[in-house]
Amino acid sequence: MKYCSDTWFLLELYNKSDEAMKIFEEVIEAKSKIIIPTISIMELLRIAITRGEKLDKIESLIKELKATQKVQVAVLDEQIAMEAAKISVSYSIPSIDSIIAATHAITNCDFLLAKDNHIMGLQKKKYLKIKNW
Amino acid sequence: MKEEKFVSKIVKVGERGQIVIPKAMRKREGIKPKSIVKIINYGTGNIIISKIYETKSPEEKFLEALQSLKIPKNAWQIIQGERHKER
Repeated sequence: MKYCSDTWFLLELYNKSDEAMKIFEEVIEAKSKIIIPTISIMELLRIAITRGEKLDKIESLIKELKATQKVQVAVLDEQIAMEAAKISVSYSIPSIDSIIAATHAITNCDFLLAKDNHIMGLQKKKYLKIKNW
Repeated sequence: MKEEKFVSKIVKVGERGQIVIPKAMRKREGIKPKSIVKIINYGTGNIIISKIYETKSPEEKFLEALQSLKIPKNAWQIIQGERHKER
């Protein structure tokens, strides 16, 4: 299974929720792969920095992230930017939500791990499939 | 006193084949409950138990780094508020 992760899923992992840990177990066992949009990494780090997290801890997370093969960061390139712009205008959703949805679509993920109301609205319009709890 | 390099102990095998690794040996080798060991049978009456040194995968190290960050409990609410400011 190939998942795209919204920032919400990273926070679920942080909180060690059973469902998130179960999905991550699949990743550790090489049964699944997770794609994280760069914007989600930014949102997570922004919260940590605001909270006074030390820079070396932030750098350590980035270092570990770079070393993984089954958890990958999807860079916001021209293709994702174009798709995000289309989604944002067509479905009238905010920029960050549209970048995350576009990353899911362009990287051909099976499910988007998300719980944002705007993104969930895209599922109703059959743009993507969402998994949450 | 100098620690002996090679230590041997005689133990009794239980009903279902269980044996207990003597406490001193477990302590010396750092074998704890749920530690994983490898059992090798050479077929000549010799069975060797070797400790397996568990190493974390890059994915587990990433998870550990993520879970060690300082993140408030209401982080998701903060992020949603930030995201939807533009509307």
